[in-house]
This record gives sequence, structure tokens and C-alpha cells, in this order.
Amino acid sequence: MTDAATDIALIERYVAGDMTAFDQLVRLHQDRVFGICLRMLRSRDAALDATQDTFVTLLRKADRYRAEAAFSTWLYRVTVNVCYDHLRRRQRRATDQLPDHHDQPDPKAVEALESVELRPDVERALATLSDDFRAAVVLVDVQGLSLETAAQVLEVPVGTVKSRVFRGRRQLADQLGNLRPPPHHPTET
Amino acid sequence: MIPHHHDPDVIMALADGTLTGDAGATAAAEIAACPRCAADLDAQRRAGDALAGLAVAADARITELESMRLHRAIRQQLGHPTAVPVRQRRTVAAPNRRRLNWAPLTTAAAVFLALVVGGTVIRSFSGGDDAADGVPEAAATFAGDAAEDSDGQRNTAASPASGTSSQPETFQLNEASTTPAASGDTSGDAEAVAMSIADLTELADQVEADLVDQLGLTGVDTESLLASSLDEIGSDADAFGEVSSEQDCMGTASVYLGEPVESVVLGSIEIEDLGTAVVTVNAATDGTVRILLHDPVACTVIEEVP
Repeated sequence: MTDAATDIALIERYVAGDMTAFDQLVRLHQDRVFGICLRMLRSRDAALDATQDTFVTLLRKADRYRAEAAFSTWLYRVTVNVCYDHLRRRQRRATDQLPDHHDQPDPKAVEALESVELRPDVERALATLSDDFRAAVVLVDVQGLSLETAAQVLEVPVGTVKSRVFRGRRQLADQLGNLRPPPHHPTET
Repeated sequence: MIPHHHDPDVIMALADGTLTGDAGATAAAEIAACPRCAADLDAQRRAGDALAGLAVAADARITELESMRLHRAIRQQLGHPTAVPVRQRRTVAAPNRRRLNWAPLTTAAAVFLALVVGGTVIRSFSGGDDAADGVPEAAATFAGDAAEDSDGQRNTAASPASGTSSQPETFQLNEASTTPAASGDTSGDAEAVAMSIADLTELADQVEADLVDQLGLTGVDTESLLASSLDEIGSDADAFGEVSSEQDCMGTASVYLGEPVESVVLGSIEIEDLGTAVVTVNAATDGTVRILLHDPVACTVIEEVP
């Protein structure tokens, strides 16, 4: 996570017209944003598009950023909202086919997919969660945000985030086959 | 029977490691005594661990090429400057869309660097005739050195040619080449440069043949490239487009490699599916040569060889 003061300084420099600040700001946060988009949208092309949309949205509003909330919180919020937009658009399409992307895939991205120890089961399980549950577990368990920060990002109470994460993990574990049928619960008194 | 309340908050806190100490131990004991609670705790931990693994997956990072495209696309959408018109464009016919084999280009680039740097050193001589007489030999020596060092170690730019004298230990390529050639005192130098180019035409032809045969590069006018490099690098911003991206990229090279390097712009090329890229050849003080491929907009490095 970058220093909050650095983020604010870069925003101010960008607003003042310094394009190097633009490049630095994007580079500092692009992997984080992309990671969220990738897990939310389950498609590299869609995640790259969403990453682009996120930064465009962010930078268009840069002059209105007042540092009332941490920049990272704002960044995550915009990212999640952009992802939700993409998901809604996807659902509105007649088929579930993702749009063709004109750029050829980067061979290095393909190599990364092939070289990493894949957990396709986890990816598939994640895809079965509802958008809200997926957003919550991606922010908390994949990105490592605290429940409080995730609540700010998602603009819901902390208790709601807790519930979404708990139930999302349970569904995930169920999908992964790790959850045995719940035994009889000795609650009667 | 003791009433037992199934508390997801407690289970989650135990799974996340935020409930510790005596309270944690008590809760753990209670949960262990309840099969359903224990199963839930187990599920929370397993799912959390599985998800945490996704965060460090290599596929979750943007590659350099994707980053270049991303920056370009963001700039376009925001209406910021993107593509910089560059003076020299070379169309690369990517054969069968394979990754370019950079090895022969490394050799060619090392030769270019040797020729350019050698020409610059020669131009910095104060003597006229002596320098002129010494040019072909010096330049040929540089070229010969480059050709021999085919095992990846280049000892060209940092090593002054043998048989010359008053060699500066290090030389500032940009400063030397910004000196206009059209002055009375430098007429001998300009002549020396012209002679060096003429003498190296044969070598340039060989290099051009390599570029065509092995890389499928077409339309590369090596003689013009040599002439323009010797005469114009760092001296004419307009020649390099709206923003001196090539010059910026030369500066970026030193920062990227973490050491002072003698950097030469080999040219700007168009690569299918990549767009315009600036190619710099960079020689470190130990004589090693690296080629960097730059995004001309941000001058960030998107490829390096070796």
C-alpha cells in the first residue's frame, strides 16, 4: 500500500498538469485495481477494461478529491462500482459471451497463467458467489482489507460486510467440497 | 445441557486470528465441542486460505505490455497526449507472429553503438588531419571489437579505439553530439564523420542484411540511421517529434538500468499489436550492451535484451 501522503501529492501534481504524476499514480495502483477486477469479472480482458475505466473515472474526478476519505478507500470504491457496472452490462447482454478484444493477448500474461500454481477450483468456486458476496471476499480475503475499510468501500455497515464474508466463505468452502454436511446442532435447552 | 449459541462473529474472529488470548482459548474450546461450529470454523479457515492464495498469483499482475496499452488508453480517454510523431519509423514484418529473436539485433545494435560512439569520440578530437587519418582505423577497430564479441559481452562503447590518443575516460554522448558540425573549427570533424560513414558502408550493408534475414525487418536504411545518429542525436528536438521522447527515453535508460549508460537511439519502430516503440542501445561502463524497448509516451521500458 502506498503512503497516503504520496497519493495526495500525486493527485495534486496531476491536477496541476504534471503528466508524470499521472503515470506514477497509475503505476502505483494498477496491479491492485486489476487484481480486484480480475477476481470480480473472471476475465483478463474485462479486467483490463475495468481497470482502464476505473482510472479514467478517478482521474476525471481528481480535482474534486478532498482527502476526506483515504485515497485508497476511494480507489477501491470506484473499482468495485466499475466492476458492478461491468457485471450488470454483462447480464443485460443476450448471451454471456464477453466482447471480443482487439489487442492480442500479451504472451507474458499467458505465461503467467501457465506458470503459476493454478487453483481453478477456487476460481470456479468464486464465480458461483453472488456479486455482493464475491466483492466482499475479494476485498477482505484477496486484497487484505480490514472489515472496516471494506465497509467504507462498499458503503454498507461493518456487520453487513461480516455477514457477506462469512456466508461467502461458507459457500466457497461448500463448493470446494470442504464442508461436510452440518451435524445436528445441540442448541436445545 | 448447556445452551450453546452459534456465533458467526466469534467463529470468524477465530478463523481470522483476531480473537486470541484467554477469550480465544475459551471460544475455541466451545467451538471444538460443537460439531457444527467446528465445521464452520474449518470452512472459514480453508476458504480464507484459498482466497489469500489468489492475491499472490502471477496472473493477478499486469504485464508491461498491458501496462503500456493501459496507460495509452487512459490518456486517450482523458484527452492527454498519447502517440508522439517520431521521425524514423520502421515497419516490422513480424514473421508468423513469433516473438522477435533479439539476438541478432543485439549484435547489430552493438555495432551501431560502436559506430556512433566511435564517431563521437573522433569528433571530439581537436586535431584535424591526424584525427581524419585516424578515423577509418579507429572506427574499424570499434566495429571489429563489436563483431568479435559475439558471446554476449560487448566491449565497445566504453573502450576507446586503439591507436588513438587523448581519449576521455568517459564521454558524454549527448553533449558531444549537440555540438553542431557546421562550424569552421569542426569542419575537420565533419569530414572525419563523413569518412567514417563511407568506410563503414560495407559493414552497414552486412548489418542490414542480418536485420532483414533474421528479423524480417524491412526498409531499414542503416546508412541514414548512422548519419542521423552521428549528426543529430540530442541536437534537434523537432527531429524527434513533438516531445523529445527519444531523448527522454535515453535518460530513462540510465534510471532503469541503475547505472550511467551511454545511450543511443537506434530508432523508432512500429511493431504489430504493440504500436510504436523506441529502441535504445545502452552500453554500461563495463562494456556490456543492453537493448531497451520503450513506450514512447511515458518512456517506460517494456522489454530489455538480454
